[in-house]
Amino acid sequence: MDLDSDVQMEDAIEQEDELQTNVPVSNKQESGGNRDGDDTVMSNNLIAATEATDTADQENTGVGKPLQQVTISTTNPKTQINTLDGWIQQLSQCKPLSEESVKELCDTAIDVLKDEENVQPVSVPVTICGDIHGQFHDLMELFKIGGPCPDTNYLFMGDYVDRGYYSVETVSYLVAMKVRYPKRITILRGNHESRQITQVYGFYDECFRKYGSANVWKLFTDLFDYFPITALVDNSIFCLHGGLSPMIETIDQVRELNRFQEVPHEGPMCDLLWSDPDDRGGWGISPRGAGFTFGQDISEQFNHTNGLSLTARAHQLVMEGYSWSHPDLVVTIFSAPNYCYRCGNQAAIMEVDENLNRDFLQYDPSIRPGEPTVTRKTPDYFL
Amino acid sequence: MSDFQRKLFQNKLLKAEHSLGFDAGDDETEDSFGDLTPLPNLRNGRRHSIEEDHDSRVKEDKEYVEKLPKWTDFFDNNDIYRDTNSGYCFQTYYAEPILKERMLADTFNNPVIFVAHHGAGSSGLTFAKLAESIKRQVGIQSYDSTPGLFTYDMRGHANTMMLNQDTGPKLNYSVSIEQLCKDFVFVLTQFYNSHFASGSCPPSIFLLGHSLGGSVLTKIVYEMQQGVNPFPKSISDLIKGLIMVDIVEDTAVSALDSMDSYLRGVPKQFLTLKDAIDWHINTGMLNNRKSAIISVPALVSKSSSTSVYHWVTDLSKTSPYWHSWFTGLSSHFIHITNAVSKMLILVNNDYLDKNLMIGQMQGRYQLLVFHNNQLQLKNTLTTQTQTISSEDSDQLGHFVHEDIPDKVAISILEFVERNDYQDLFRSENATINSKTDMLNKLNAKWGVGKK
Repeated sequence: MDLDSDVQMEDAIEQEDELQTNVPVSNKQESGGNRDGDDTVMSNNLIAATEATDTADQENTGVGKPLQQVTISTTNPKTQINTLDGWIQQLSQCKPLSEESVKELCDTAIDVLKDEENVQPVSVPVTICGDIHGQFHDLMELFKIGGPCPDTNYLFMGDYVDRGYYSVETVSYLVAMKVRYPKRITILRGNHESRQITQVYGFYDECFRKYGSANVWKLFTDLFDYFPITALVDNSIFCLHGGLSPMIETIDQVRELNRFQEVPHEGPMCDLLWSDPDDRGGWGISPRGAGFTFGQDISEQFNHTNGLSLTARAHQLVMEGYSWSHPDLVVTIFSAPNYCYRCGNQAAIMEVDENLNRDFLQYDPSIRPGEPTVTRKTPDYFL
Repeated sequence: MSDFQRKLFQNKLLKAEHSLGFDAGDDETEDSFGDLTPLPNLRNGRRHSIEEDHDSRVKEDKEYVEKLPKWTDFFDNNDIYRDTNSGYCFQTYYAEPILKERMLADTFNNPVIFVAHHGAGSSGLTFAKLAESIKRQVGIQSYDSTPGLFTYDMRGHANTMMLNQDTGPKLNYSVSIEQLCKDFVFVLTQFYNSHFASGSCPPSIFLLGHSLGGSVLTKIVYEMQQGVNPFPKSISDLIKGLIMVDIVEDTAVSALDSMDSYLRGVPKQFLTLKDAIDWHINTGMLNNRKSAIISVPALVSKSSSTSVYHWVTDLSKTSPYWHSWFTGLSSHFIHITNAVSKMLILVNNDYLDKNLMIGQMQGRYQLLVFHNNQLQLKNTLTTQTQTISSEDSDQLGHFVHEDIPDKVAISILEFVERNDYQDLFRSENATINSKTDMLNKLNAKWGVGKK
């Protein structure tokens, strides 16, 4: 299922207007009966049609009705696409799916992701992106800057959740896009796509807040185990979230790993998601408490051994959105502008064209109605 | 404040229930008196005379106090360090490191010492349970040696305050951050001279600062690296790590605004020591009674005339210094170079201010967040941890090292193991002698080396 139909990108202003009236999850409309098995007519322009007309087409696309009643048909790809398009349409307005829909989405996504490789091959042209961290509106901005998917191919290098306020919508959207356009978008695993980390840095709490239970958190964190951990763009650019591992000298060694598990605390899979390049040579202890630091000598050797021109990674905040290391063997890409709404950094994505030319697109935070005011409890006592 | 008032109200309710003969059904909270207005004892349905009341209270208190743990249960010595220039004296506590015999012969293995600085309104004994937990976890986790823990009562606090009632009353509230740094330099230098001056076995020092203590230690390390080294090089070279416990500059500064009203709501006196301990538990200030019974008694002193307990430190007298205590903290912490490994332990939230957030996202220090949520608590611990002691509370607050001393001990031991490559390791990793050894082997395998 790889269709070249356009994804309808929301007009920014319209989107902001809709954001003002954010609707709580699920059961917001009781209209519409059971559409299971509806054999609707496919259209390359379904969503636009939906917007142009009203309820009649909405029923067909699944937009605006209780989404848990729409089951993805495994036998009928047309219905499946309709449902997915409906979900994507809903998510693009920053409205989370119902728990039942998330379950279906994750079940379907497992089928797609389980067959991807530890080193997922990706062809050019592709636009490579770094950390998003629940900054949903900046993700929409990213698609505006880089061009809509599937017209533009995307490779995301992990860390979709935690810290930002819309981890649920962000990861739901990217996974829905992955299922809808599996050849057009690649989503790797970051160190935050983990049960343990998400319990501390916000995704768990957000799921609980938005769904009243940890079920959705469990569905997504179970799904994370299937995400590929690295990608190889045109046999030339090695992409991963963190960095190199002293246990991994060749890319073939990555292919031998069993990635279907929680991110371990140590070992090669942990390192790939946690390590950072460093000015100091050789391997070093990472100040983060996990992974390693690796010097230019390591990058030289790794790129040479594996015939690479570049290692692209995310994981570290860089104030200009991208940053070169070693001196041009490693690039860091960070795609969450003004990280966590306070860091004042630019974001960037890296376009790689058919001839492997690279171009960086930098961007600032999207204009948006404003983040929800988080009333942070100051402690009673603090001396 | 509302939380505090609610708890106060709950205590009153409990007390009323007691007086009516209801059993709260909880041994921990029975007899808890959060509020200090002396009320007639109605328990037996008749009024005692005030004198009878007083006598039985004093007797009960005496019996209770006798059963409490002593500093000797946690530390090996409690030397007093006297600054000959000012005449000011510091109460110190030291749990000595334990090196296994075969390691003593090995010149590469030096003792690891945690040097801990408490926050305002606390005392050195806030680290008593942590010192105990370190020893216990070394056993459980099969470390080859036991790090020591050295701490002291800071200026104007606990026994240090009591020691200087006559010699330096004016000095007790001279608690600018600069003065507190000077005090630390004096105390650590004195400690080094007393125990390690012979130079045969120099320790690896890991600084551990809670709250204000974290700010003091960060300032010292930052200035030390900036070339304003207050220590002789023989000492500063030994400082390998810095652990800040529950302190974020922005959060601290914003909380200061409500400190005045908070302090006004704090009882001025307690009828018994148990009341003082109960108050800390009932208000949620401390969540682990096993720790409170050693840490709280240091904070109050008994009036010889009335037999009631008053606070040793009047925190409101330190208010002129509050804002200067935390200014620049986050920036300093971030700019401390890798020569000193850094860890930040936070409780219940990961709200970092801009400097700390950027630093964390650039991988400049290790962040560890403990959450109240039981599920989260269980999973915050690393995989190497199979055994979790029952000494830990399931509730967390600002005094995390008191509430969950075992989990904090495990975390800081792993931090040392990870960053001080040579001096702390587990015997189970027999093939790799230390982290340095491991890194050397890895670099050799890759045919590269540190430049």
